[in-house]
Amino acid sequence: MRGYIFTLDAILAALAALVMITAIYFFVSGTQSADWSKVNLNSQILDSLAVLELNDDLKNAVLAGSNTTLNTFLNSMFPEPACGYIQLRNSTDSLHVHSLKTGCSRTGRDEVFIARRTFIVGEDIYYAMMEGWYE
Amino acid sequence: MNRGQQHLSWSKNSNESARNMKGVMFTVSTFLLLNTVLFFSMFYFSVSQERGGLSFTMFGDRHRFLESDIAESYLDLIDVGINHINRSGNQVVFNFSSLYEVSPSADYQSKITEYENFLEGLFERKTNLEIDASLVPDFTISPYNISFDTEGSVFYIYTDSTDMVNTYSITVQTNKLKNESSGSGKPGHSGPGYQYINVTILASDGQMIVSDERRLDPAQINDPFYSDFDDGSSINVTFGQINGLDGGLMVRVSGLTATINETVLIYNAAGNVFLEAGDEYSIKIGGISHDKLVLGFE
Repeated sequence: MRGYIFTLDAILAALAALVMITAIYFFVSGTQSADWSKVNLNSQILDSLAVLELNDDLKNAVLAGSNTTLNTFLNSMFPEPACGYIQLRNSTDSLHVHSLKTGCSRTGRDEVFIARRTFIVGEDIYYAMMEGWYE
Repeated sequence: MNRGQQHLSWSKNSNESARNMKGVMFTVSTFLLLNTVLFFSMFYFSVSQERGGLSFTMFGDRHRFLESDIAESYLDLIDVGINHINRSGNQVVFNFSSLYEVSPSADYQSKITEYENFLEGLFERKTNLEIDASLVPDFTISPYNISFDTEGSVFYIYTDSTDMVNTYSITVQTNKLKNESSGSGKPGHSGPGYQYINVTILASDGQMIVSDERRLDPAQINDPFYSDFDDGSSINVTFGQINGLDGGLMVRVSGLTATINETVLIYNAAGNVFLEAGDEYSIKIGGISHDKLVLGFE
């Protein structure tokens, strides 16, 4: 008699454990993992271009034909460990100014986020393209 | 049963009871642990479901980013700068740092069209977004539909509700020197209670040629604030009935170029005010159409 009870108890325990493990598996497998660092990086490059335009840094870089302000921005304002690269091109897609954050390399990158923003210099149309990635 | 047997039985029962207790504890702790894992996974699942809207939010960010980008470039193209939009009670102050260049050679529509072509061509290909833009170089302040428009050598401000705008202050800088001015003038007062108009006309070096204020009847055809120059060129700033519409403000140049510098409008508006691109504006980004391009708000 004891043996039956023991067996029944063991079966019930196993069933209960199985139900719970199945439920846990259902919930865990149904989750979608989101890498917030990537979301943040995407927002950072969008914001960076907006800030650079509103500060007239993009316009000034084209007028001066120099990447000094862009270098300063990338090296001081673009947070570690993110890397960034900015190109300023005109309406015919000719490259005017570009800048790569110090210590970063554009080769062997896993995933790159890209944003573009138009801006006006005098009567000419330009656009800035910014790439962001983690090394 | 002798004492020895009794002791053995008691000891046996005691051991069994301890074993049973251990079993219960094991079952309870296992159950609690599994429950903890289950609740944790349920929580993780629910958080993950909330993050399901992430891709949509990122799309929305991209959309808003592009609209703000177009708005910013649009303002640059039409030479419009906004210093601030302030409110005091029901009174709203719009302060522009610049407003168009008024000149016979000014052609904002061409600049806007070039920008449209750029957006729909190279920029669309690069961003992989479907952009269909139709822009015009005029804009309005809502409510009361205060519209700003330019046609080469003429600049207009019109409003649907004349009584609501109580002050216009406008500074216009010409490309002429003060000593080239052959004469200037201003309208007579219409009387107290009418709209307050303040006009300043500057020379190219910033010297003042005309600076005056008047209270003018918006329903009358009033004389202009004006300055004439030796070479026959002139600039007029007129407030009142213009082209059959009451409460209009017009800057007209002939043979010269003028940039509208600081401009202040004060008007009564209880609700929120915002600045948007003209009535004919429409833009389609990624298949979603918008017919409002908000350029600024209080």
